[in-house]
Parts: sequence; C-alpha cells; structure tokens
Amino acid sequence: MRSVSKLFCLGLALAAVFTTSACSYHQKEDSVSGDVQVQVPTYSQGQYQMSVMSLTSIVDLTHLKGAAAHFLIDPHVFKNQLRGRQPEIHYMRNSHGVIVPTDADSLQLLTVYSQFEKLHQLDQSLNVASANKWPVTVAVNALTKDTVTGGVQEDNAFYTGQFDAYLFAPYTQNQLPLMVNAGVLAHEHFHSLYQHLVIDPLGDKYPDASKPTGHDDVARLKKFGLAVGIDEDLTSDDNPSADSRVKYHSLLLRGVNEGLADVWGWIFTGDVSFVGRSLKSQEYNRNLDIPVNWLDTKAQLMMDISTKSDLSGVPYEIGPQVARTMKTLMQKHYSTLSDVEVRRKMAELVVKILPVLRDKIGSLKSDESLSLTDIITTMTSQISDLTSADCQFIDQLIPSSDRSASYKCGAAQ
Amino acid sequence: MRKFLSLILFLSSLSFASLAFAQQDADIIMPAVQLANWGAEILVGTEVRGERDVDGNYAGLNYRNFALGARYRRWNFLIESATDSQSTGNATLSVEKKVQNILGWAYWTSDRSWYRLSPMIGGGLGAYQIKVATTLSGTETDDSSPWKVMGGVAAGLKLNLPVLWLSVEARILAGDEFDPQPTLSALARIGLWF
Repeated sequence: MRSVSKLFCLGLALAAVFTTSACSYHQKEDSVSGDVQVQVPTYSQGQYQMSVMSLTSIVDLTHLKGAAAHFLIDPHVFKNQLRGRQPEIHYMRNSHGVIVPTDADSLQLLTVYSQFEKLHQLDQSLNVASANKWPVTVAVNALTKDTVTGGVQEDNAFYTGQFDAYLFAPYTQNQLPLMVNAGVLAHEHFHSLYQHLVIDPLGDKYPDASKPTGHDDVARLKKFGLAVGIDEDLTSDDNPSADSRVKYHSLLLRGVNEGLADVWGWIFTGDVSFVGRSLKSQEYNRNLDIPVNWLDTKAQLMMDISTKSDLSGVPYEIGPQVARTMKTLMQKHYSTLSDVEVRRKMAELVVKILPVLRDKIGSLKSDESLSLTDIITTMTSQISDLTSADCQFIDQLIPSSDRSASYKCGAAQ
Repeated sequence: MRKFLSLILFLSSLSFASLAFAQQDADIIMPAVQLANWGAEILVGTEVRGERDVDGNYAGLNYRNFALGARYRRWNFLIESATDSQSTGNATLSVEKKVQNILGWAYWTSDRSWYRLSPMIGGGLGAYQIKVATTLSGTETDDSSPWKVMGGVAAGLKLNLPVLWLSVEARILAGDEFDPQPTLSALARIGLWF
C-alpha cells in the first residue's frame, strides 16, 4: 500500500510540475503583424531558387490569412458557394528568424500567398487592383471532373469567374509544382482581370462570352453546342448567323484571354517558358520565344469550329500567337530598354488594351465580325510611335485575307 | 486518431490498473526481480506521436528512440535521443524535415508486479531542434531552428525480466511551438539492463 501511495504522490507531483511548465511554453504564433520574412521559391536569373521574401500583409501565419489571399482546402460547392477547410501550415523559424516551411504542402501554400501579395502590388502599381476583390480565394486540391476523359482533372490550375476563385487540381508530375510556378499564378490572375475588365462588361451583348471562364469551360462549350457538331452557318465567314457569330467571338475572346494571360506570366516573372516548367508537354507550345510567323485567319478559325469535335484546345492555339506577337513587338519597339523595363511597358500596354478591346467588341454591329488580325492591330495601335521596323513585323504576320483595306500600321484603329 | 488516443489511454490506465489489481490479488503479487543498488541500461525504441498535418488532421509520426541510463534502486535516469525524418514533395521540389529531441528522463518503477508487469511513471525535460533541407531543382538549402525547450510525463508498464528490458508507455509531451500542444505519444522499448 505504501508503494501505491508513493506512486500516486510522485505521479501527482510530476503532473503538477509538467502542467505548470507546459503552460509557459510558447504556442505556435497564429497572429503576426508587420513584415514577415519567409523562404520560398522565386524565379530569378533564369531559374527557380529558394529566396527570402518579405510579406507585409499576412495576419495569420498558421492559417495563411491576410490581405492578399485566403485558402480553401479540399473545396466543394454548397448552396452555390465555394467552401473548404482552412489550411494549417507547418513551419519553423531559422536562426535568422526567417519562416521556413517544414513540408512541401506548406511550402506551396506559403509560396502562393507570397506571389499573390506581389501580384496585388503589381495591380496597385497599374491602378487595376480595384478590378478584383482582395483577398483572393485560392482553392487547393480541387477535384473537378475532366470533361474530356471523364476522370478527375489533374495537373491544372483554373480561374473560375463563377466563384471568382483560383482552383488548383492535384499536381502529379515531377516538374515544378503549379502552385510554386509564379508564371502560372500570374497567368491565372490575369484571367480574373480579363473577366472583370472585359468579359463581365460585355455580358449583355455577348452572353456566351460572359459565362464564367474556368474549369467548366469545356462543359460550357458543349452546353452551347460548339463542340458537338458542325454549325453550317459557321462554315462561311462572310455571313455568319448572329448566334454563330457570338460563338465565334466567344472562342476568339478566350484565345486572346489565354494569350494575354501568358504575356502576364512573362511580365510578372520574366520567364518565357513558365508553363513548360510544370507541364513538359506544353514546353514548346507555350514558349513565348518561339517565333510567330503568321496569324490564324478568320476562315481557319471557322474551319476549326466546324471540323474539330473538341474545341477546348483552340484558345491555346490562338493564345500563343497573341502572346508571341505582342512580346516580340514590344521587345523590338523597346530594344534599348532592359528586360524589366520592357515588361513594365508591356504591363502598362495590356492594361490600356483591355478597355479598348472591350469597346471594340462591344460596339460591333450585328453584321460585323472581328478576326485575330483585327484584335492584334487594335492592340498594336495602342503603342505610340510604332517604327517602320515594328510595322514591317506586324505586316508580315497579317494574312491577306483578313487585311482590312483601311488598315495602315501606326494609324489609330 | 481515435485509435491512437485509445492506445494512449489504454497504456496509461493499464499501468495504474495493474498496480491496483496487484494489491487486490495477493496470489499474483510477486516481488520484482531482485536488484543491486546500482545498475545501467541501454534501450532502443519506437515512438508514435500524434502531430497535425497540413490539413489539420492528426497523423502518427514514427520517432526512433535511443536511450542510455543509470539505475539507482527503483529509479532510472535516462538520456534519450529521439529522431524523426519526413520527406515530402516531388523530384523537383522536396522538403526533408528532421526533428531531434534530447531529453533527460527520470522513471520510478514500482517494486510490485502483476504477472511480471511493473507500473512505472516518469518525467523528462530537454530540448528539440528542427532541421529542414529544401531541395529545388537539385540545389539544397539547409535551415535549422534554435534548440527549444520541451518536456513530458509518462506512465507505462515494464516487463520484469532479468537483463532484458521490455516496456511500453504513454507520454504527454509539451514544448515551445508544439502542434498540437500538448502532443500525445506511445513508446515501446527493448534493451538490456544490468
């Protein structure tokens, strides 16, 4: 009996000492204020490398909340709203006080937050920050249906205008994860700008184009009949019916969206092959340094619509033409400036282009339609003092079938 | 997680219950192995700790445990090292986290046993350090945290055999920035004692 008493006394004493000391341990700091130094991958000097970034907007480190972004893990839709769990990231402070994530998921989430803070700053510097709601919603491990294969969508990132959120599908490849790829984040972020500055304002005139962009795009195309059959009216670009005309412009707008989003990825990072860093299959298709030799004609696009059973890839064929043309032209035009300066000029130009593009499409009469050439020349007309070399570059891209009789390089469109 | 908590509770209650049973049933009470006043032990073990993953779920992490100790009568004083290593990510971006614990533990073992099982309780104090190696495109960046204080209490059962040490115990651990705070663990050990 004596030993039992001894055991209990000792146990109680230990528990008391332990409880007292446990209370004095520091809890993991959820709330933070001021600058927080974090170590995340960033793109610099042609490659991704670990570097220290200073975050100014984060208020809850563990759950990654702040003015730039908030996260939903394993998202689902409930009552037409996107919902999900909040993340709980794991990290430590190194001997310099820098936050170092201790697992790959935490590292990716913290990187996304860091990059969206930078994207917010970029938007602010271009006076377009008010176009979006901040903090942005980022949904991670989003399981969506691949409408082509019928399986779960993998290795993809989307912006969905329907929920005004960024969705990241599981990444299964061995390249740079999409969530760490700053170019991909900027690309998706541009879609939100395009949604709010171009597509939404066009809503009434072009209902097809105002539908949400994002993971349900392919399903949406099928719903609207573009992917399931041949519309006879679309085979003739001279006299497309009103409905087909809207569908055609919807596809064109999506192509321009993809192209300018690729440009935005380059603007933000300086990386000309950011898609290929995560998706090897896209390394060539989306590389912005591949020379562009011509622009698709209106007839070619119409032919695509009438012959392809799956049109989901068409915007990604139009997009690189837009991106490569604009990037090459700006680099020619500002050949004396540094890469950073050229990208800044490009960002300013894109922001200037968007409302012009919206107005151009919005003001089309019912018997008018635009070609990719019209889109490109509308954009390039916003560059002041185009040189003869610039015009020579543009002119060689323009197919004769789409060349307007009134078009003159350098003249206002 | 429910299974893990059940195991911890089971081990804790077993250690105390065995003593109570032993008191009630005089037939099965037997004196523990006769001890010299002084002795030593060398132990290895495996420990499962319930820590939280990025989704907020509890995950059982396996720590390798090694201890050297000295004994004075019913008291065991151990210097213990526990390490865990986890690697996450893919071929391009990976994070390897290594946790190193060094604690001094004091255990008191009852002089009564039930079917050769003796209850024991203990308390420990020490420090831990986290090391992180982040590898991006083949380039490794190493970071380490400062050593931070941690401690714990334990209750368990030790099989009363000459020379061979076999024990299981449940632990409650706490430390600077533990997640969760406190952290529960279960430890099984095997070793030699003299």
